Amino acid sequence: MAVQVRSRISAFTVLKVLFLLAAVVATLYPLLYMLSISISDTTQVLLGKVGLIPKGVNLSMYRFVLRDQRIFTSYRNTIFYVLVGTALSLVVTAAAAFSLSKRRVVFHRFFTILVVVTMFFGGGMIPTYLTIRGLGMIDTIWAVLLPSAVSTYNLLVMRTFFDGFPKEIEESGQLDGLNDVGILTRLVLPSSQAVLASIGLFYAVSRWNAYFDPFLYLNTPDLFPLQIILRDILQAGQTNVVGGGDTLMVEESLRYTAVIVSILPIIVVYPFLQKYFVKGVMLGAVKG
Amino acid sequence: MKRAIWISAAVLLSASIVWAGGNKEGKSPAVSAPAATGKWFDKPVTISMMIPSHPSWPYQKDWYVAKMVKEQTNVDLKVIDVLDQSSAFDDKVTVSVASGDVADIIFPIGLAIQKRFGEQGVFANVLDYTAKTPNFKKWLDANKNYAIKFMSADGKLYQYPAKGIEETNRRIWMYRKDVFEKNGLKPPRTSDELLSVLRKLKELYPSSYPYAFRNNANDPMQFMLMIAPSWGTDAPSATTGEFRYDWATKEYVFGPTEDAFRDMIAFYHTLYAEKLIPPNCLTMTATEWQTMMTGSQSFMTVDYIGRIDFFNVPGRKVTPGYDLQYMPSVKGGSKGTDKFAASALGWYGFLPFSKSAHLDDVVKFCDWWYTPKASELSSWGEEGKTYSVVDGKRRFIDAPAVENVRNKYGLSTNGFYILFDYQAHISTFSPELQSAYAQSMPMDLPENLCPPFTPAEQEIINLTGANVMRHAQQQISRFLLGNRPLSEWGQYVKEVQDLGVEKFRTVYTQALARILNASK
Amino acid sequence: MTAASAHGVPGGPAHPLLRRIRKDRYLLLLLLPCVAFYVLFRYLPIWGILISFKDYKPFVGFSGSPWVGLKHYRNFFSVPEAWPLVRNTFLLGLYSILWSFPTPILFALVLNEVRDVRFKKTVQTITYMPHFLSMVIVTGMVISFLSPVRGPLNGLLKSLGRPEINFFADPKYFRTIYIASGVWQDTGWGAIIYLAALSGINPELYESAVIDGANKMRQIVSITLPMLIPTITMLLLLRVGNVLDVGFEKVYLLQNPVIYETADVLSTYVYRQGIRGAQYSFASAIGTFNSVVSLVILLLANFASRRLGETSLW
Repeated sequence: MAVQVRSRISAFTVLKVLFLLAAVVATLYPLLYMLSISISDTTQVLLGKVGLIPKGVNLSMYRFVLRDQRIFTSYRNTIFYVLVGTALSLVVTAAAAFSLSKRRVVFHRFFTILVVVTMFFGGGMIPTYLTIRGLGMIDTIWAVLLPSAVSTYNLLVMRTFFDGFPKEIEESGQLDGLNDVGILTRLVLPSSQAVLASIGLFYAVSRWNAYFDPFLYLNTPDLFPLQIILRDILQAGQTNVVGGGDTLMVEESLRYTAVIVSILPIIVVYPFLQKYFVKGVMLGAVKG
Repeated sequence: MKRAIWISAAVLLSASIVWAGGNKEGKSPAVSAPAATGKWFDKPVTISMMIPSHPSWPYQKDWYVAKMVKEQTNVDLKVIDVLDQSSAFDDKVTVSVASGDVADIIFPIGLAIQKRFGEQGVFANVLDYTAKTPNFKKWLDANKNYAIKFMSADGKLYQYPAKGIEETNRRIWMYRKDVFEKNGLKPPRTSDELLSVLRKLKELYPSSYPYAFRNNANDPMQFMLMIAPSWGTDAPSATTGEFRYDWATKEYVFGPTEDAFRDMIAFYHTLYAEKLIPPNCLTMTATEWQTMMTGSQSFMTVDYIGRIDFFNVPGRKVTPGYDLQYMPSVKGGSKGTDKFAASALGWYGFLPFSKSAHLDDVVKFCDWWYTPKASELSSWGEEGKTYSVVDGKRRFIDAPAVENVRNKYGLSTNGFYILFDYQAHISTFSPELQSAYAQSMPMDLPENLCPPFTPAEQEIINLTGANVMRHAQQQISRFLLGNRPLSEWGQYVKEVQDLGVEKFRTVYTQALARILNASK
Repeated sequence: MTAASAHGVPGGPAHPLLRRIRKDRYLLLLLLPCVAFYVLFRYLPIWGILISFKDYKPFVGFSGSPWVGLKHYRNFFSVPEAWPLVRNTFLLGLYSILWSFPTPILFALVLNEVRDVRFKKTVQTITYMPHFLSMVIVTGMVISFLSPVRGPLNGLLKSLGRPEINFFADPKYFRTIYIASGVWQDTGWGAIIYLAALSGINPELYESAVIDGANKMRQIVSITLPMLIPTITMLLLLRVGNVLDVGFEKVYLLQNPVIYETADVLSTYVYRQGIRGAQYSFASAIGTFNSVVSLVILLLANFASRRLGETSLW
């Protein structure tokens, strides 16, 4: 067990706790403020009288946002797109990242440059649309799942992580008769939970927030993801005086309610991913 | 004023000659009455239409208005409801144009889409089909004044213009009548009176900013569009023209370099320095402005006429006696007028796709919208179904406000109006709002004369014009805030001129001349 | 089966290249879906770059639109503000890197030192949340917070007896506002990848260091940081390559003409141009210029990184 080093650390501990608490307050305050506004009486919000403490608590804004039938279809759609899309992205990205981390692979430089160049040069909105149309994917789920399957950034980050994977383990795997695919699936991936969890999170969040591409490529409302519906609802805040009865439609209230509806699932799911970032994941590997 | 009418008549006469030349089929007009079945089309026709959706009244197939259209015309409308009204709608149109999958009709908000794609050939020139659209022709002949705004530089008209609903964009001065009366103040009629009233209010309520308005941070002169005409000048705008047409001299003038503009900026600088307007007046967001107006931190504003009800409803919940009312416009400076800028402006309508598989059906469908019956049905609906007559006045059934009318019946939603009777909306307004409309309408100044441009001219506007505008925006803002002393005005005028105002202005003069010459 | 040898299987390909392909066939297979992706979705549309050399009209199509050579590039450089725009874009990107790049690392290091797992998890969950707020919300909050009429910051100044500051009326504040709000929004989220990297460090290394008498600082400097270097370098390279990629939306929402001096950047300038009429080709030209400069910067950074003995992108 680690030797307990004592009082020299205390000052450090106090400092770090203060620092972290400051960070928490700085980030939590605006979020609580938004929450408070979303559940306050809209007239009070309009008057600017609502701060951290909500006034006239009611859920009329949530009812307005959620009463839209399309919310539920789009929520379902988004969950599908995120789950399937992230799985797809992780598989393709991890396979490619592993492959590219092996500097010996033939054409290694060529492929890497191929990939990096796309970070700078791209066709643009119209050519990409025409390509997707040419592939017959317009107005299908593939238009949402495929064009964002790989992010060069994520690919390169994952490659860096695989770079650091201990050579000895791979070599012992080869001695045991595993080919490259086997090494990846049996040895590397199980020990790479941290990076898989983070990159998976990045992909998932990016897909969750996707608005513009689905907006452009989809026409059938039944396929729309959540963000399209939410952004649409937000526009109601710009013109309505009275929406649905007595509720005064206040843009700020509406906006913050929509934000909370949008990020709530992520906040709920995230803690389950956190355990993959805990220290000591690599522990078993070297000793074996 | 009279000269203005003569000149616009001349312009329009020449324009109409250009139009007449474009009419290919000079034969006798086709049948203008519905076919034997009583419907506009004998057999059912499917027409696709792309519309920008509004979230408070998203398109519904079983709306009264949708069913009415089918009943009257036998047209099955395939509506492509795009869930965005802003730039994202434009992008959606752009990719559909690039791929060739364009709906038979696009319903745009504003002229941007028509201007961008019209001359590329995306939309049909409706003037070529006037023989097939006699109702439209009849309306056009009677409304040339109005329709010219939708025309293109090549003499073509790529849009079936809508008329009537622009009233919804009307803007006015508004003031807190209760606060004024309480303190024995009268609404000001001149800028001097305005200054003294504001000073008085500031004295009485030191923590207030008596006069507040919201603005577009990236286009601060947008607010001045409403104010400048009362000072005898005008602010530049991409939609109403960057140059002011002076009816007296028949020349185009660049507003932001005029003396009257300088006087206006000097006046607003005074307001700013004395804290009579908020320090962030040029960038104030709608949210903050709304809070100040409802919370009685401000007592005067200029904005959409609908704000009267918008503020009175919550305002009265909080402050008994809260009374926001129409205020007659304020004459600015010595060169000004007590009339108010033309604000009831809007450009809507149908854009017919030139390569539609059944263009003849599409134009015939558009023609229906110009019949008096269509106008009546799309504005009011039918008695008993959508409205009833109460005390000799029409009242919508179960729909106290405009948004209810839209939500419930689909009336006056995007895609479903061409000739709109605005009285339909007015019938739902509070007495105060109705009175505001009545008082505001006679005070309108004429619209600016903005000619259509060729793509080459548009390029100059995009480049030279954008540079001029950017500098003007910057310096005008700085003068107003006092970041730059007004003594440097002359220098600023020179700077703007050096950036190419003349070149920019020549484009306008040229474009106007072209339309006039077309008659020779 | 023996380990792969240069001879390969009897009767296999003799040509060295083909032999290598055969040897790496599984790796190539793993790479295949990704390459297919890039070819289909990134390279098929890449003809779009050429739009900047034409007067592109979407309805007429690419082949129907006329070539204009360098016209749009020349138009851009003839604009009087071309240089200040590039300078602003570059400075915003540079300061962004200077401030927003190290803070997540620092944050991750501090967070990593926390013993109490629950505290650690809670802090992490809360601090990443601002990342999810859209730019409209974040800029709205910033503007509200700094408002000279009702903003709390000015409220504080007033209560201290000082005059209010109109933060958006003076060019000198813009960069700070932009950077500070960026740090607030992205530090927690940016730390995630570093936490993942930190979790992969073998705890035994620390244990032996402690036995050797190393204090916290020594441990961090000689164990933690070196283990993080590959990740840090890679992320830095990617970041540097994106230095000109100053997000359009955020700048546009925070700017106004009074502060254009520091607040106007390439992307917002192009956008405002575009409002007057879709200038695809012009926008494309500026975008391409941006890309070329970014690529050059990345090449330089990568070269430097390789020279310093560290990671290279390829």
